Amino acid sequence: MSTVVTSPDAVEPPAYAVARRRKLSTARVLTLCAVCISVALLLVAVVGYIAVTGRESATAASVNITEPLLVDAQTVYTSLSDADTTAAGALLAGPIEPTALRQRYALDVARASSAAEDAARRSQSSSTLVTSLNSLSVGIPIYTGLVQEAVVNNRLGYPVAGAYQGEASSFLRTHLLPAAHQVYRSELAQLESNQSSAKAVGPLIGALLLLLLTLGVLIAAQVWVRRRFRRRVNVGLLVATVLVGVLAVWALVGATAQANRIDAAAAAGTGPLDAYTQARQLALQARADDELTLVSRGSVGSYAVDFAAVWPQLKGVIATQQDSHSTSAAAALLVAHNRISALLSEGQFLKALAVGSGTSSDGLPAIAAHLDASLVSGLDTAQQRFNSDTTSAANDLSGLAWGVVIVCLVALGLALVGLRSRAKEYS
Amino acid sequence: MTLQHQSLSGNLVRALWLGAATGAVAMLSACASVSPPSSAPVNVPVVAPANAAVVTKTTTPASTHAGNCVASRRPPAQLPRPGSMPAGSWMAHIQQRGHLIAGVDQNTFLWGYRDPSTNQLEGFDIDMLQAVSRAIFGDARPVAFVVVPNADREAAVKSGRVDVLAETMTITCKRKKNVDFSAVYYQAGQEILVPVHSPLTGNRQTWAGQRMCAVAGSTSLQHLAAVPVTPPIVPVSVTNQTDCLVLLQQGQVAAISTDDTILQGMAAQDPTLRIVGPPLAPEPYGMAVSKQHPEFTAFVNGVLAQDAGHYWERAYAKWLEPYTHLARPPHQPTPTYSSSGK
Repeated sequence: MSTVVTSPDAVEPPAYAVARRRKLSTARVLTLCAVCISVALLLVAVVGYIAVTGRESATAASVNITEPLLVDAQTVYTSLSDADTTAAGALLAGPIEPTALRQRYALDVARASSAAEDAARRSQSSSTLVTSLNSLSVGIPIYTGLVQEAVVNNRLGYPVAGAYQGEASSFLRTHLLPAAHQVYRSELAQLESNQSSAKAVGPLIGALLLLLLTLGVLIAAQVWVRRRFRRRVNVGLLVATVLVGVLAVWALVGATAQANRIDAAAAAGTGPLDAYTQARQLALQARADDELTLVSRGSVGSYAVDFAAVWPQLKGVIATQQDSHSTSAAAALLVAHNRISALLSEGQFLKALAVGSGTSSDGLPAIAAHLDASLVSGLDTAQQRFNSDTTSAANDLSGLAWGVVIVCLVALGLALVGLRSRAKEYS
Repeated sequence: MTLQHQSLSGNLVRALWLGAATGAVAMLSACASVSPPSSAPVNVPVVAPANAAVVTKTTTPASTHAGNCVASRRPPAQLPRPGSMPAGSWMAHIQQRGHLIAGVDQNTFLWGYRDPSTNQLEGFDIDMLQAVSRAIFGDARPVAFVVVPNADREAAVKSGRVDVLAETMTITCKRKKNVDFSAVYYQAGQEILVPVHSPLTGNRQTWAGQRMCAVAGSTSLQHLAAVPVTPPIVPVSVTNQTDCLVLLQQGQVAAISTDDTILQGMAAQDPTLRIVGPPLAPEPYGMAVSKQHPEFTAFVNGVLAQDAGHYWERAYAKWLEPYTHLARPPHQPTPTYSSSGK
C-alpha cells in the first residue's frame, strides 16, 4: 500500500521524509478504508432495497392484482357451466320454467359477462388473453340467444326446444368454455409467476453476499486499526459491524419466512383453488350431461358418453384434495347418474325424470347442489388460505426495505466517525 | 356406409360474412356523414348442432323395400269379442295379465311423443296401440308403454319385452326376417320440408346444388345423394332428427328430407314451413309383433281392417290432417295379405 506514493523526492528519501511518508500512508489507508466501507454499505443499501421491494411488490401484486383476476376468470368459467346446467334443468321442469331457475340462469350469465368485462379492463393486454376475452364477449350473446329459442319452443311444447338447448350447450362447450379456460389458465400462470418472483433469490443473494463482504471489510479495518494504533477497540467500527451482522440475520430470517409463507400460499391456496375450480366445472358439466340426456328424452347418447369421461376426471381432481365430503358427494352423483341411465334404458322415462329433476333428497338436483356446495366451500377455504398466507408473507418483509437503507446509513456514519477519530491524530 | 365429412364452417363463415357485410353497408349508408369506423374484423363463431357436417361421399341406397314384403297374415273372418279372447292365444295371455305392453317412441312429434306439460305419451302410433288394447279388453284401460330406442326396436319385439310395437317403423324384407309386421297402417314416404316461400318444388331440378339435411347413416341421406341433378344436392348430416329443424330455421340448409310423417311433426312446430312431394321413396309403416305369436299379428290386422270405431280417421284428423299436404289421400291404406304372412 505504501508504494502508492510516487513523489519526485522519493529517489533518495531523507529520514524525515520517511517518517512523513509513513504518516501520509497511514492517513491514506484510513481514507481508503472509509471509501471502501462507504461504497460497500451504500451498495448493500441499494441492492438490498431493490431485492426486498421486488419481493414485496410481487407479493402484493399476487394478492391485490392477479388473485382478483383469477377469481374473475374462475367466475366466468364456473358461471358459464352453471348456466348450462340451469338452462337444461329449467327445460326439464316443464313448459313454464321455474322462476328460481330463470333467475339463477340470468345471474350466471350476468356474472360471467361482468367478470369477463372486469378481466378485460384489468388485464394488461396480453394477446392470447385479449383473443379469449373477445371470444367470450362475442359468444355469450349468441349462447343466450340459443337458450332463449329453446325456452320459447319449450313453452309452445315443441320438441325442437331440446335441439336448441343441445346446440346452445354444444356452443358453450366448444367455444365459450375453452375461451374461459384459456383466460383462467393465463391468470393462474400470472399468479404463479408472481409467486415465483415474490421468492426470487437472485437479488437477495447478491445483497447478502455484499453484506458479508462489508462485514469482512469492517472486520479487516478493525484489525488494521488495532495493530496500527495499538488500541483495543474502535467503538464506531465495532457498533457498525454489529449492526451489519444484525441486518444480515434480519434479512435472512425475514426473507426465508416470507418465502415459506408464499410456498404455503401456493400449496394450501393456489393449488386447492385450482383443483376446486376444475372440480366445480366438471361437476356442473356432469350434471348438465344428465339433464341434457333427459331433455333429449334419452335419444341423444353423446351426453352419457361425456359423463363417462367427465366423472373420472372429477373423482381424480377431488382425490388430490383429500376431501372426504366432496368425494362422497361425487360418488352420490354417479349413483344418481346410474339410476337415471338404468331407468331410461328400461323405458321408465317418468321415473328417470323424477330422479333428474325431482325435489327428493336422492334426486339429481339435491345431490348436485350438495356437491357444488361442498366444492364451493373448498374453494372459499383455499381462497382464504391464499389471502392470509400471502398477507403474512407481506408482513414478514415489513420494514425490511427501509430497514436495510437506514441500518446501512447508520453503520456508515458510525464507521466514519470511528475512522475519523483515528485520522485526527494525523491532521 | 362410408361417409366423409367436412366442416360446416366454410360455407357458414361465408354466409355470416355476407350478412355482416350487408349490415355494414346498411349502417354506412345510414350515417354517411360520419367517418367510417376503422374497427378490426370481428370473427363470428360458427353455431351448429354438435356433429353437424357436410357429407361429401355416400354409398348408393340399397333397395331394401320389396313389394311383396308388405303382405301380412290374414285376419280371422270374425274378431273375438273384446274381453273374451280365444284360450291359448297370446291375446288371452295379455287379457290375463290385465294390460297390453307396447313399445313406442317418445321423440317423434305427432306420432309417439311425450307432451311436456302433461308428460303423457301422445300421437298417431299411440292411438293405434290404444285401439288394439281396446279390442282386447273392451275398455279404455291404460296401455303399459315402454319407450324403445329406434335401434332396439326389433330386439324388443323378438325378446318379448313388448307385445307389440308401433314406432314409425318401415316394413322391410330384412326386418321381416326377425319380426312379424301387421298390414300397412300408414303409407309414408320420403319428402322434403322447406320454408313456405322456398323456390324448391316437386320438380327435382329446383333441388340442384341445395344444402339438405338428413340424419347421419339414414337411408334418407343416401336417397338425397342419389337424386340425379347437376350440381348434386349437398347433404348435411346431423345425429338427431330435430337438429335438422334447427339448421333449417337458422337458414343453414335449404330443406330437410326424411319420412313425411316426421316432416309433419316438424311442420307442426313452425307455421312457416311446408312439405313438398312427391315422395323420393315409399315408407310403409307396420306394427311389429313377435314371430312367436302369429295369431296376435292376425288379430292386429283384424283390428286394422275392421276399424269399428273409425279410430284411424279420427287419429288422422287429430294428428296429421293439419300438416299433410293435399296430395295425400286421407284414408287408411288397403291391406294386402298372404296366407303365410311372409
